[in-house]
Amino acid sequence: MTDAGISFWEASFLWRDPLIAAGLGALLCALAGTFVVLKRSAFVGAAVSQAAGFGVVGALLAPHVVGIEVPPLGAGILAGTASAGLFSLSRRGGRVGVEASIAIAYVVAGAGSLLLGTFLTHEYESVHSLLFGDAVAAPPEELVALGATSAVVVLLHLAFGRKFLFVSFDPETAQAMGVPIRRYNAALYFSAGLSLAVATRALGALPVFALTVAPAAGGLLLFDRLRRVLAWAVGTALASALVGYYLSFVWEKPTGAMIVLCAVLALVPGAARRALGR
Amino acid sequence: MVTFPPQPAIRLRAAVIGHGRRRVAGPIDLDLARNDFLVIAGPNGAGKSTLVKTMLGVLPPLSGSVERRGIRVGYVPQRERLDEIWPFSALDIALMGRVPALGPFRFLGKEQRRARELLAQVGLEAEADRPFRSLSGGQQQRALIARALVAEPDVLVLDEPTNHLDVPGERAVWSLLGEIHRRQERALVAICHHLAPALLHATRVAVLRDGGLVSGPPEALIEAGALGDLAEDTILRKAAP
Repeated sequence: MTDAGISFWEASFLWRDPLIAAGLGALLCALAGTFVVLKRSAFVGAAVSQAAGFGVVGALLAPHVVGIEVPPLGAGILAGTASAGLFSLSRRGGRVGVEASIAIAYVVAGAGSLLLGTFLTHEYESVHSLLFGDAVAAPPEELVALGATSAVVVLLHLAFGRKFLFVSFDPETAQAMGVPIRRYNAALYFSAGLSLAVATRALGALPVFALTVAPAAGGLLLFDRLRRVLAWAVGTALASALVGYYLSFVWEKPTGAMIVLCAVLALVPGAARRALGR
Repeated sequence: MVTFPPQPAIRLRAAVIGHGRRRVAGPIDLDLARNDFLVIAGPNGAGKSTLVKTMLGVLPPLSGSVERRGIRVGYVPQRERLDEIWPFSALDIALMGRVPALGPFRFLGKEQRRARELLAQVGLEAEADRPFRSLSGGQQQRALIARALVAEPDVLVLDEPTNHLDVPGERAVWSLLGEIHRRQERALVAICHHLAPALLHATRVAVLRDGGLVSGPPEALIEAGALGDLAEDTILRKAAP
């Protein structure tokens, strides 16, 4: 074992909480990601993180503009979740379509954050940290938010997972057979928005986007059964978060970038299988 | 003692059908009896899908009334509208028929036997565990019919069930539907363009044309010339055993 490896284990007080946060964030990303990739709405992750950032900037500006203190973490989660709720109102095959709605939300929230951010020149560092997360540190309130969100999302999927699948795969039949598709679609997007907004705060926008798309896509390249795709997505997302964190520590490289690199490796077995024509 | 005929499963009275404020057809009077096999035909854009969606309650009528009397519906969409990215087996597809009645925190483990039985009934027993996307068009259609039957419906509705199937596949699907209708006490409603094989099994035909609807037994419509440019299909009907 190298000195760096030994120092990693000795420094457990430093990485224990961030590692738990990374694991919970990865779980949330994999669950949400499997649905958004299957619904061909992979950019939901990017749009939600931009919207969450817009909420954070708005919260930081609120005391200067309206004289009210707004918690930035809560405002970011609220804005991210609300944006995902709006996506659920877009109809597949409608005049604009879900993809265009997501793209519009992404650019509007991104431009809005940049513009409003110019009024916060003295708080640049905190804005940047709140916008894009900081996988190296995990304050207690962040762990609580991640734990509570994971519990809510897992319960939602245990309660209504089959209905989420039905309305996502075949909304026309679900509606004809009496399933209130708008309600379930809204609940699904709500859970995805909440998951990605909370995970963005903990891990950062880029790792969240990677953990949302790459593990689920890797599973789809490998397997023909949803249960296996989901297991692959959750397993490789967790492994990417944990291994990425460990490698960033021992190699002293940016944590987010290492997590992204590991997440992309989840695509390799499936891509190799496709290349071999099996 | 006076006996009353059974109430229709679905009844339309002076129903004007359409989307939003746009009128598509009507006013329409139509009764769907509990053992009808109704085939809905008509040119593109005549309002066949709109009529079916109005019958199912997915679209409200612009005026008039639609009555449904505690019926359970099984629906078979056009399979081309389903995205093959989803990694489902034929059994997963069939099990979805139980999902509308599934309560929170309930799972489908106990329903597997029934779903397998219905897959066997439509000739897919050996394909139950195969990926849905790897099945042929006809097999996918059968899996979707099994899914609709798993719901134990009073009314089975099919939207162009033989689209893009070859002639043997088309005949096989209509034969299966005819068998389902003969064996079980339920109404079938099918939209179709190619009437010939459907007429061999239908008990009633409804033709939507120029905003109006004409319906009746196939023989009566053929005699009255109501099938119009679909008339060449009558040759096959008459030639049928």
